[in-house]
Amino acid sequence: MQLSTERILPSKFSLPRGAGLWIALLVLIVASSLLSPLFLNGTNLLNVLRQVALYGILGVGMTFVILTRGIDLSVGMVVAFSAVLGARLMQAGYPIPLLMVCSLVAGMLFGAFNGLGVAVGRMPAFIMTLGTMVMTRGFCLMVARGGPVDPGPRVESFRLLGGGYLLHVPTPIYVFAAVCLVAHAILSHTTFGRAIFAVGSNEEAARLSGINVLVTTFAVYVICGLLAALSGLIFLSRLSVGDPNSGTGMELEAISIAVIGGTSLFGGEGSVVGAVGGAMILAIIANVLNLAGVSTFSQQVVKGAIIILAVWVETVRTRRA
Amino acid sequence: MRKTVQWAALVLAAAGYAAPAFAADLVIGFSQASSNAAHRNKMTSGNKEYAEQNFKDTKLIITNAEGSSAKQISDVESLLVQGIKVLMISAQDDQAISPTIKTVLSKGVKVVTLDRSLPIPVTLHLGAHNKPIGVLAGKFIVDKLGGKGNVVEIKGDPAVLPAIERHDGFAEAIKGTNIKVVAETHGDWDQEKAMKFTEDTLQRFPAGQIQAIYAHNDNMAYGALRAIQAAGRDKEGILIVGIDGENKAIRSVAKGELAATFTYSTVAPEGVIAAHALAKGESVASLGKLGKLGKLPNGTPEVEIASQMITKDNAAQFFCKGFGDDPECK
Repeated sequence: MQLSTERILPSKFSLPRGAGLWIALLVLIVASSLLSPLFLNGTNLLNVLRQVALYGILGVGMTFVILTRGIDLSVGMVVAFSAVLGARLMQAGYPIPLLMVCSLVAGMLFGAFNGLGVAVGRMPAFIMTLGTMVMTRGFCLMVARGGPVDPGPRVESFRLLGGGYLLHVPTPIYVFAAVCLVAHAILSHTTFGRAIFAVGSNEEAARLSGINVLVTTFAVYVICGLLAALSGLIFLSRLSVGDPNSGTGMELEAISIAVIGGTSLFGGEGSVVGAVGGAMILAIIANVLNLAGVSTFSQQVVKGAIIILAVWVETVRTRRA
Repeated sequence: MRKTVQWAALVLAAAGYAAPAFAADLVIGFSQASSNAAHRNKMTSGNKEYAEQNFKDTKLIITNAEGSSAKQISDVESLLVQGIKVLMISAQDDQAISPTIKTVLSKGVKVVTLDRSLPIPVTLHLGAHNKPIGVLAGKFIVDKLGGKGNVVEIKGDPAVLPAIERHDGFAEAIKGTNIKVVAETHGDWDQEKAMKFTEDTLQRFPAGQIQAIYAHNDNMAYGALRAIQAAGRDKEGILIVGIDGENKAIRSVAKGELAATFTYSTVAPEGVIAAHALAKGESVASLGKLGKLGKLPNGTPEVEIASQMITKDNAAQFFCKGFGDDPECK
């Protein structure tokens, strides 16, 4: 019991682990500003932060799931479904607040379905969410009738969420900040948050200490689905079209963000702040390579190498521990 | 005993099921590869609707392989059983389907390939060519810019031929002019990727340093447009050129947001017109009305359906004639 409570408290581990991430980020920022003088330009930094926000929201959702030793492969397709459903309802004349609620609820339902399979059905998360991913893609193509959905002229009044600015700062950045604050508060300052860490580090011990493992596991998938749907609405607003193919590969982006941010795939370790750092690292790499005019092929090589490096550091660290 | 009855019932049911197929005068099969893109869906629905309205003597049976080569093979086999005279096919994978197509041809069934050709000779191929579209787009930009300026190229998926050919045609057209491609990326046909790249590229090249953006499809042209609008640089008059002729893009061309788009034929209704003519015993030579007659390297006769340039001047006459979702086309 003593051991597991120690693991439950993330503060003991977050210092050395967090430090490595932020040092890497700092090195990256310095290198980027040397590589391209445009990097530190105000507009460019806002572009980078918007990119951090767009994918970071998914990364935070994924962090919740991975903390319980799970994984959610369906997020990319939930993003696409939420965008396509929103576009279709907008086309049909639904009021904007109502269609947003519909998309968010749909995301939560997909999450709940995953949660049921993993928590109640005791299925491996990888397989359960893989199945949901394929199903969601099917639903998505059904609602979209196979091609991008044009929401019609009313999309202009929906631009604020993903394509607009508040006080010269892109709106998604505020949304992401709010998501992070709430998520951090949940993980660090609530019983539910502590239960998530406990379930991830030792499910049996968590059960014995009176934690409702079933509800905790179920809830993280619902949260992940909700955040994916929110992200889908932001993409709909930003692109002003519901593209059923747009979510492809986003689950890998989300997993990369969580893992680079120091979330352990073995559960029980990780943080929202780490996910923010992870999202920043990926966004800065993509941005600076574009600014420097590096080819897309080399960009993918670099991105893959960074992910492997992050996991390698994590593996070495846990082996020593 | 009971087993025998069951088998008899099954055989009778199967015969009853197959009977209507033989009842129609002409049976044409259409094996579609997938349904996850608007262009492909228009190919299916356009041919289907045209056949329903114009060919009362014909039964058109459509199957969809949903992206699986294995399913497409069994789809074609099941069409063959239903007594088709002509098979229209858009292959998921040209290598995988070829042995099956050889069997189909050996049974005396004519094969018309749509959009994607096969390595083996078939009765007819119908489709658009990508390289000439790249050339058209390149010439358009050369003309509009007076032969001088900086262009950003947003390419499609590097692994597929259309992206390579759309690039090659464009490169050929701008060769020898003072048009320079100053930045390029592979946007994988994806709007968000194109938008992100354009945002970064607009940072890299301040006002006045980009004169045109050439995107390999309309979807990515949209991404570029959104990025330019968001950065407040839509007053610079950067020409944005897309390809495909999506309904939505045609509207944007009419509004002056996109400078031009170039149609990439959905082979609808040309596909079913050709199949119907062949089923009636007409010759390939009579199909010259559908496009430019030619031959593929493997000897298959071909009808090339030329691309049409859509600019602000003629956009109105193309409304709702492209493909893809458009709320105004109900």
